[in-house]
Amino acid sequence: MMTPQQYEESLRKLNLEVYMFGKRVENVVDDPIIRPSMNAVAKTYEMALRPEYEDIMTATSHITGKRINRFTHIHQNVDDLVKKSKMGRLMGRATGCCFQRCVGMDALNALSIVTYDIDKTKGTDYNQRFLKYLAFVQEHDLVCDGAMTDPKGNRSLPPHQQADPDLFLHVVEERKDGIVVRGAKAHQTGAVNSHEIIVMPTIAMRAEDQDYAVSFALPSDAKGIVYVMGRQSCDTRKLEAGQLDRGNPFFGGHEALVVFDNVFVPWQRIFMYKEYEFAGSLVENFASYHRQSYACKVGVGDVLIGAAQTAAEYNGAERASHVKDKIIEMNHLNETLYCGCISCASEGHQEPSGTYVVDKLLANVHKQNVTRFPYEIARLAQDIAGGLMVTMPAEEDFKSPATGKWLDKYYAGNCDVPTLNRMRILRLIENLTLGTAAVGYLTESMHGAGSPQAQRIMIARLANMAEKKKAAKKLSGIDE
Amino acid sequence: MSRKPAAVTVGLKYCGGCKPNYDRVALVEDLQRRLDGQAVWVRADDPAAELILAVHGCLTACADLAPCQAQPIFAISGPEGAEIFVRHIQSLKRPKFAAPP
Repeated sequence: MMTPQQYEESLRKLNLEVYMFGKRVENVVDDPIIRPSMNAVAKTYEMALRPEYEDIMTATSHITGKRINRFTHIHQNVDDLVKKSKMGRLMGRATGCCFQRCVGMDALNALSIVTYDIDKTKGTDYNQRFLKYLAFVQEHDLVCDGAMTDPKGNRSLPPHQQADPDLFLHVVEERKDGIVVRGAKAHQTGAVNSHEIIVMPTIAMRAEDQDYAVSFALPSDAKGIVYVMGRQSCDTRKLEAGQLDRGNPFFGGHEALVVFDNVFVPWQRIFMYKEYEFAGSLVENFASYHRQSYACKVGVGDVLIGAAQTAAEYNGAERASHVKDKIIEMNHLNETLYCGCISCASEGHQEPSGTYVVDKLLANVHKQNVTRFPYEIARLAQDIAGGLMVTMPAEEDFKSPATGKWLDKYYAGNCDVPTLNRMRILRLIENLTLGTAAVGYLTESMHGAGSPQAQRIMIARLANMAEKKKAAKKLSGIDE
Repeated sequence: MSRKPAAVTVGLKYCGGCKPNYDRVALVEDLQRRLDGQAVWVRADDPAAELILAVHGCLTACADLAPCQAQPIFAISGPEGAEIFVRHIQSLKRPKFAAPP
């Protein structure tokens, strides 16, 4: 396994084409806006090497028998699935943000299932290709970006009917040694912190869309791949001299639009090629795993609840009954989320490939809760924090000889607590509920791994209504 | 006659620490300080370990102890268990120099 330092050095060797604020980013690793997101991924390496976390953060490879980072592991039993959920909470609490590495793990696990299933039906050899690729990823302890979401253009039209055919990534040329693809993947979490990109189709497809039914993996700096960084609320605070106004000065996340401008993919890196009837299965398996992955929001919720309680204590309001009740409600919601990610893992099952997958109904129920509960937890945190969270002056005003004495005097709360500490915890709440980290804690909770309606469709499909009606009819004496 | 240390060699095994109820590392550091000279600390997979101390963060007690079945296991889930562990180590009557097997 790599150390965090080795991970950082490995990123420096990549030649990524990254743009932000209209300019090419020449030094991605040290860019002050991107750097905190790299720190969050580096934390996944650091914690895997620490004895007090290795039981969750590492696993034994089923293909080599070696100890590997769990983020590169294929789940071999229910215990692996449960540990994945626990790892999400652990990492969310350690970083207070999206640590970006789960999406690649989910792509690897989904492909381990679907490549096997394609081979059984079509006589192809995708699974062997995939296992070789997996061994490479595990051996080098790589970060993989799982790239599923196409821009999608007009949502009422399938890929082949779009006005611009590139709005879904597709094959534009077949060669003896591979294929050429064009298109883009949007909202790619951790893309520029990744060594590899694993591309998957974004929706179930029909025969007319077979050119769009393609899955493959490429080095993240392959020729023709271009990254355009997404903005985050308050992102340029990271360019300022101080630390306080950043809220979380250590960690963060990022998303990018990833453009594939006529990119060549060799055959040995292709895991699905025009087998359109399996696109839906790949999407469903990946989405189910990734909906479980929102266990991370429980860990971030731990941080936000801790911040709210601390703010209450710094304000001298922690004994007020309504504050206590709000903290109880925040914990109730957060632990309810935890129930979902643990239960979908505990009820997992083995697929024909040998890989274990979560209970898909429970995973969708869990993610549906994630689209709602963090918003309520955030609202309660803002309620407890008070308005100062959004009206406090800048760190530089606290340092200024002209204004610092006034701010220190008038923004004091509990007299046992330095005023600046009160400001720090409020800035963290701001960061999590409307700053850079709110991208991950709120809007990503809403739309990541599929928007709320996607889960409702799956819940409707997977809930066993026939059995529910049967139970009701039996107890009411109906004999049909 | 070979010299064997009088101290007990303890193989340390943590759970993964997903939602610990206390600071496991601080507790172990405290144990190491209190048992200085009475216990030598190694990883749980070290063949020299004479007993395993499993440090769980909560009562779920989910540390993977499957690879540690060769030695006796002493499991704790908090400071109370740590006190019992200290008394257990201190109660061991170990000769200063043990004869070879």
